[in-house]
Amino acid sequence: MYLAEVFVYLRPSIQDPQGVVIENTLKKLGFSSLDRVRTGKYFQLSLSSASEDEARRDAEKMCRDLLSNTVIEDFRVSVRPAS
Amino acid sequence: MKPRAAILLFPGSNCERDAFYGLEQTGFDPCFLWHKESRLDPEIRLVIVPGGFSFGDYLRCGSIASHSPVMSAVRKFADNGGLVLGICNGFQILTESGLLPGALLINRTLNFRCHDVFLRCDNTSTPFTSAIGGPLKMPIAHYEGNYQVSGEELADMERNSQIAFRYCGPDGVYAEGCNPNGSTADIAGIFNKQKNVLGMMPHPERAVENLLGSTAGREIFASLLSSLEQSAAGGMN
Repeated sequence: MYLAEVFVYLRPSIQDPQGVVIENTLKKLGFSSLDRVRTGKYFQLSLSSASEDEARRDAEKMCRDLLSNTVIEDFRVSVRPAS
Repeated sequence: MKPRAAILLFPGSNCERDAFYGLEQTGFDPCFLWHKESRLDPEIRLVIVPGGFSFGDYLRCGSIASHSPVMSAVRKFADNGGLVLGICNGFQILTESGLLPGALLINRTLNFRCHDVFLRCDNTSTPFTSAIGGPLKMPIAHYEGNYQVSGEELADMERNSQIAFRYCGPDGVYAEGCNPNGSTADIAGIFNKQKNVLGMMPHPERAVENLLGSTAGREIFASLLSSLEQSAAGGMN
């Protein structure tokens, strides 16, 4: 079994109004070192793929087919054996 | 014979009855079609993808619905020139399914916007818009109506007259604050390249009676009816 962790996030060119509001609020809370906030989604996928490479390919295909909208979003996948 | 129009039904659709009423009032023979159906009756001439919160807006608005069996049938129908109108969540479903370009993001104001808007029609030479006279007053009700598309693609769409509607003031001219969601180029609705698929955030089906504040939605249904009657008379069906 493998665990794939998937991050889906808006492309840099896409506006993220929620990120802006969170950023402004954190700044109001006094976090003066904060430069920018961008929001995104996080998924944990448990996979029974035959190998780590195959698990990565499966997860990436899931990202392209459903988990992300490639018009506006990018994704990142990291895979490790499930403990 | 009145043209048959199918209104798709997903779990969480909530504008299907308004669409049914609007179609019935404007000379169509409407029916509902459950999302698990994988084929469209051959007599269907128009598909409406109605508004609502299909599948609870999980993941991204319209993303789960776009993978429903009925959407494969709708894709085939559209590929063969069939007329498809997606309203609000229906527009989101059509962009998610790739039948229309671009994507709909959260409103820039982070508010659910629910009020009347005015629309300017940019292309009245389509089956959806031929009967449109002046600016249209129609309600919107959405949180994710902020239409985004790359600059390159937008230029392509403009060249190909794919912009259907833009938000405007009551006189049909752009007015400060008329864009409720921050959409690119004040876009409220777009066509596919072939102009047989229209997606729009405003609700024509909620603007079919004076009692509702506007009858502008009838102009879209009347356009569709006359286009379908013409093609029937020409034996194109």
